Amino acid sequence: MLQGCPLAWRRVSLNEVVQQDDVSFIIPGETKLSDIVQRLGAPSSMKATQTGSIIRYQFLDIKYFTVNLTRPLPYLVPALSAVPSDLYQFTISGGGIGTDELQIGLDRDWTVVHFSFAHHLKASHYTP
Amino acid sequence: MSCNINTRRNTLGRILTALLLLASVISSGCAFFRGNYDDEFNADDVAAIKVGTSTRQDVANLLGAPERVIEANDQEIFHYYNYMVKSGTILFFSRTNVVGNDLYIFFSRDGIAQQVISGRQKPSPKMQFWPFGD
Repeated sequence: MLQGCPLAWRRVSLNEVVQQDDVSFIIPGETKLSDIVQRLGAPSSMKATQTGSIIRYQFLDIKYFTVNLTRPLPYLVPALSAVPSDLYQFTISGGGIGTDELQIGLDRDWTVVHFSFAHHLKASHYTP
Repeated sequence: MSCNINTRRNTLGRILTALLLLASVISSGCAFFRGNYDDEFNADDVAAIKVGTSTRQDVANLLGAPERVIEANDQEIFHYYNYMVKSGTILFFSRTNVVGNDLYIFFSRDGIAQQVISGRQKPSPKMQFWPFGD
Protein backbone atom coordinates (compact mmCIF):
# COMPACT_ATOMS: atom_id res chain seq x y z
CA MET A 1 0.00 0.00 0.00
CA LEU A 2 2.86 2.34 0.77
CA GLN A 3 4.52 1.92 -2.60
CA GLY A 4 3.33 4.66 -4.93
CA CYS A 5 0.98 6.00 -2.25
CA PRO A 6 0.03 9.49 -3.38
CA LEU A 7 0.77 11.17 -0.08
CA ALA A 8 3.69 13.55 -0.30
CA TRP A 9 5.36 16.51 1.29
CA ARG A 10 7.85 18.06 -1.09
CA ARG A 11 10.14 21.05 -0.63
CA VAL A 12 12.62 22.84 -2.87
CA SER A 13 14.98 25.52 -1.49
CA LEU A 14 17.24 27.80 -3.50
CA ASN A 15 20.18 29.49 -1.77
CA GLU A 16 20.55 30.73 1.80
CA VAL A 17 18.45 33.43 3.43
CA VAL A 18 20.30 36.70 4.04
CA GLN A 19 19.30 37.93 7.51
CA GLN A 20 18.88 41.50 8.76
CA ASP A 21 22.00 41.11 10.94
CA ASP A 22 24.06 40.14 7.90
CA VAL A 23 23.52 43.57 6.33
CA SER A 24 24.03 45.72 9.43
CA PHE A 25 27.38 46.84 8.01
CA ILE A 26 25.78 48.48 4.95
CA ILE A 27 25.66 52.27 5.17
CA PRO A 28 24.05 54.09 2.22
CA GLY A 29 26.44 56.61 0.70
CA GLU A 30 29.51 54.86 2.12
CA THR A 31 29.50 51.10 1.51
CA LYS A 32 30.88 49.97 -1.83
CA LEU A 33 29.96 46.94 -3.90
CA SER A 34 33.32 45.34 -3.10
CA ASP A 35 32.53 45.56 0.66
CA ILE A 36 29.19 43.83 0.12
CA VAL A 37 30.69 41.05 -1.97
CA GLN A 38 33.37 40.52 0.65
CA ARG A 39 30.70 39.81 3.29
CA LEU A 40 27.79 38.30 1.35
CA GLY A 41 29.43 36.81 -1.74
CA ALA A 42 28.50 37.58 -5.32
CA PRO A 43 24.88 38.59 -5.88
CA SER A 44 22.40 36.37 -7.70
CA SER A 45 21.66 39.03 -10.28
CA MET A 46 22.72 42.48 -11.40
CA LYS A 47 20.73 44.90 -13.50
CA ALA A 48 21.52 48.34 -14.88
CA THR A 49 19.22 51.22 -14.00
CA GLN A 50 19.16 54.83 -15.18
CA THR A 51 20.98 55.97 -12.04
CA GLY A 52 23.34 53.05 -11.56
CA SER A 53 22.48 49.44 -10.90
CA ILE A 54 20.48 47.07 -8.71
CA ILE A 55 21.93 43.89 -7.29
CA ARG A 56 19.83 41.09 -5.79
CA TYR A 57 20.46 38.24 -3.37
CA GLN A 58 17.62 35.80 -3.85
CA PHE A 59 16.23 32.91 -1.80
CA LEU A 60 13.34 30.74 -2.86
CA ASP A 61 11.35 28.20 -0.86
CA ILE A 62 8.74 25.99 -2.51
CA LYS A 63 6.48 23.71 -0.46
CA TYR A 64 3.95 21.25 -1.83
CA PHE A 65 1.64 18.74 -0.21
CA THR A 66 -0.72 16.24 -1.81
CA VAL A 67 -2.91 13.39 -0.61
CA ASN A 68 -5.22 11.15 -2.62
CA LEU A 69 -8.00 10.26 -0.19
CA THR A 70 -9.66 7.72 -2.46
CA ARG A 71 -6.54 5.68 -3.19
CA PRO A 72 -7.24 3.00 -0.52
CA LEU A 73 -10.84 2.46 -1.75
CA PRO A 74 -10.05 -0.45 -4.16
CA TYR A 75 -8.60 -2.35 -1.18
CA LEU A 76 -11.90 -1.92 0.71
CA VAL A 77 -14.25 -2.25 -2.28
CA PRO A 78 -12.52 -4.66 -4.73
CA ALA A 79 -15.12 -3.95 -7.44
CA LEU A 80 -13.62 -0.49 -7.83
CA SER A 81 -10.49 -2.05 -9.35
CA ALA A 82 -12.47 -2.41 -12.57
CA VAL A 83 -13.41 1.29 -12.61
CA PRO A 84 -10.93 3.90 -13.89
CA SER A 85 -9.62 5.74 -10.83
CA ASP A 86 -10.26 9.12 -12.52
CA LEU A 87 -14.00 8.61 -12.04
CA TYR A 88 -13.90 8.53 -8.24
CA GLN A 89 -10.52 10.06 -7.42
CA PHE A 90 -10.45 12.80 -4.78
CA THR A 91 -7.12 14.53 -4.24
CA ILE A 92 -6.33 17.39 -1.92
CA SER A 93 -3.15 19.31 -2.57
CA GLY A 94 -1.70 22.68 -1.82
CA GLY A 95 1.50 24.61 -1.60
CA GLY A 96 3.19 27.87 -2.31
CA ILE A 97 6.34 29.62 -3.43
CA GLY A 98 7.95 31.99 -0.98
CA THR A 99 10.70 34.39 -1.94
CA ASP A 100 13.07 36.31 0.23
CA GLU A 101 15.23 38.86 -1.47
CA LEU A 102 17.78 41.50 -0.56
CA GLN A 103 17.82 44.36 -3.05
CA ILE A 104 20.67 46.86 -3.06
CA GLY A 105 20.68 49.97 -5.24
CA LEU A 106 24.06 51.30 -6.29
CA ASP A 107 25.03 54.58 -7.92
CA ARG A 108 27.40 54.96 -10.88
CA ASP A 109 30.42 54.72 -8.56
CA TRP A 110 29.17 51.37 -7.15
CA THR A 111 28.28 52.95 -3.82
CA VAL A 112 25.13 51.86 -1.99
CA VAL A 113 22.19 54.24 -2.40
CA HIS A 114 19.52 52.13 -0.72
CA PHE A 115 18.87 48.57 0.37
CA SER A 116 15.76 46.68 1.40
CA PHE A 117 14.34 43.20 1.91
CA ALA A 118 11.36 41.71 0.14
CA HIS A 119 9.82 39.11 2.45
CA HIS A 120 7.28 36.72 1.03
CA LEU A 121 8.28 33.54 2.84
CA LYS A 122 4.79 33.09 4.34
CA ALA A 123 3.57 32.24 0.85
CA SER A 124 5.44 28.98 1.19
CA HIS A 125 3.28 26.48 3.11
CA TYR A 126 1.97 22.90 2.96
CA THR A 127 -1.65 23.55 3.93
CA PRO A 128 -4.13 23.20 1.04
CA MET B 1 12.30 -31.36 21.18
CA SER B 2 10.72 -31.20 17.72
CA CYS B 3 8.23 -28.70 19.15
CA ASN B 4 11.12 -26.40 20.19
CA ILE B 5 12.73 -26.62 16.74
CA ASN B 6 9.41 -25.75 15.09
CA THR B 7 8.88 -22.80 17.46
CA ARG B 8 12.40 -21.51 16.68
CA ARG B 9 11.80 -21.92 12.93
CA ASN B 10 8.51 -20.02 13.22
CA THR B 11 10.11 -17.19 15.19
CA LEU B 12 13.04 -16.99 12.74
CA GLY B 13 10.60 -17.01 9.83
CA ARG B 14 8.58 -14.18 11.35
CA ILE B 15 11.71 -12.11 11.99
CA LEU B 16 12.93 -12.68 8.41
CA THR B 17 9.49 -11.80 7.01
CA ALA B 18 9.37 -8.64 9.14
CA LEU B 19 12.88 -7.66 8.01
CA LEU B 20 12.01 -8.28 4.36
CA LEU B 21 8.81 -6.23 4.69
CA LEU B 22 10.70 -3.42 6.43
CA ALA B 23 13.43 -3.46 3.78
CA SER B 24 10.90 -3.43 0.95
CA VAL B 25 8.95 -0.55 2.52
CA ILE B 26 12.07 1.52 3.22
CA SER B 27 13.71 0.87 -0.14
CA SER B 28 10.54 1.25 -2.23
CA GLY B 29 10.31 5.03 -1.88
CA CYS B 30 13.97 6.01 -1.72
CA ALA B 31 15.79 8.23 -4.15
CA PHE B 32 18.84 10.40 -3.85
CA PHE B 33 19.97 12.73 -6.59
CA ARG B 34 22.88 15.06 -7.11
CA GLY B 35 23.42 17.28 -10.11
CA ASN B 36 25.22 20.29 -11.47
CA TYR B 37 24.43 23.08 -13.86
CA ASP B 38 27.78 24.06 -15.35
CA ASP B 39 31.18 23.49 -13.79
CA GLU B 40 32.31 24.97 -10.51
CA PHE B 41 34.72 27.88 -10.84
CA ASN B 42 38.36 26.86 -10.88
CA ALA B 43 40.07 29.01 -8.25
CA ASP B 44 43.33 29.01 -10.23
CA ASP B 45 41.57 30.31 -13.34
CA VAL B 46 39.88 33.08 -11.38
CA ALA B 47 43.18 34.01 -9.72
CA ALA B 48 44.84 34.17 -13.15
CA ILE B 49 42.64 37.13 -14.13
CA LYS B 50 44.78 40.21 -13.59
CA VAL B 51 42.94 43.42 -12.87
CA GLY B 52 44.29 46.21 -15.11
CA THR B 53 45.88 43.89 -17.69
CA SER B 54 43.62 40.93 -18.59
CA THR B 55 41.45 41.49 -21.63
CA ARG B 56 38.02 40.10 -22.44
CA GLN B 57 39.74 37.53 -24.66
CA ASP B 58 42.06 36.47 -21.80
CA VAL B 59 39.07 35.98 -19.54
CA ALA B 60 37.16 34.06 -22.20
CA ASN B 61 40.22 31.84 -22.74
CA LEU B 62 40.31 31.03 -19.03
CA LEU B 63 36.63 30.67 -18.19
CA GLY B 64 34.96 30.26 -21.55
CA ALA B 65 32.12 32.37 -22.86
CA PRO B 66 30.12 34.09 -20.12
CA GLU B 67 26.55 33.01 -19.34
CA ARG B 68 25.42 36.63 -19.61
CA VAL B 69 26.92 39.98 -20.56
CA ILE B 70 25.53 42.94 -18.59
CA GLU B 71 26.05 46.63 -19.24
CA ALA B 72 25.97 48.90 -16.20
CA ASN B 73 27.61 52.22 -15.38
CA ASP B 74 29.43 52.32 -18.73
CA GLN B 75 31.04 48.99 -17.96
CA GLU B 76 30.66 45.66 -19.61
CA ILE B 77 30.26 42.84 -17.11
CA PHE B 78 30.78 39.14 -17.77
CA HIS B 79 28.50 37.06 -15.56
CA TYR B 80 29.34 33.40 -14.93
CA TYR B 81 27.21 31.15 -12.74
CA ASN B 82 26.75 27.53 -11.75
CA TYR B 83 24.23 25.61 -9.67
CA MET B 84 24.50 22.51 -7.55
CA VAL B 85 21.43 20.41 -6.69
CA LYS B 86 21.01 17.72 -4.04
CA SER B 87 17.71 15.94 -3.57
CA GLY B 88 16.55 13.19 -1.25
CA THR B 89 13.26 11.26 -1.16
CA ILE B 90 12.23 8.73 1.46
CA LEU B 91 8.67 7.44 1.36
CA PHE B 92 6.38 10.50 1.42
CA PHE B 93 9.05 13.07 2.15
CA SER B 94 11.19 14.86 -0.37
CA ARG B 95 13.55 17.80 -0.17
CA THR B 96 15.63 19.43 -2.88
CA ASN B 97 18.32 21.99 -2.08
CA VAL B 98 19.82 24.20 -4.76
CA VAL B 99 22.81 26.52 -4.30
CA GLY B 100 24.08 28.88 -6.95
CA ASN B 101 27.47 30.56 -7.23
CA ASP B 102 28.10 33.66 -9.30
CA LEU B 103 31.18 35.34 -10.69
CA TYR B 104 31.25 38.82 -12.22
CA ILE B 105 34.13 40.40 -14.13
CA PHE B 106 33.93 44.12 -14.83
CA PHE B 107 35.64 45.57 -17.91
CA SER B 108 36.50 49.14 -18.77
CA ARG B 109 35.38 50.65 -22.08
CA ASP B 110 38.66 49.54 -23.68
CA GLY B 111 38.02 45.93 -22.58
CA ILE B 112 40.46 45.62 -19.67
CA ALA B 113 39.40 43.80 -16.49
CA GLN B 114 38.69 46.31 -13.71
CA GLN B 115 37.22 44.17 -10.98
CA VAL B 116 36.62 40.49 -10.27
CA ILE B 117 33.67 39.78 -8.01
CA SER B 118 33.21 36.31 -6.65
CA GLY B 119 33.35 36.76 -2.90
CA ARG B 120 33.10 33.66 -0.77
CA GLN B 121 31.80 30.58 -2.53
CA LYS B 122 28.61 29.31 -0.97
CA PRO B 123 28.81 25.92 0.73
CA SER B 124 27.59 22.88 -1.14
CA PRO B 125 23.86 22.21 -0.59
CA LYS B 126 22.85 19.69 2.08
CA MET B 127 21.54 16.26 1.17
CA GLN B 128 18.23 16.15 3.03
CA PHE B 129 14.88 14.40 2.72
CA TRP B 130 12.97 15.86 5.70
CA PRO B 131 10.94 18.77 4.29
CA PHE B 132 10.07 20.45 7.62
CA GLY B 133 11.99 22.96 9.71
CA ASP B 134 14.70 25.25 8.32
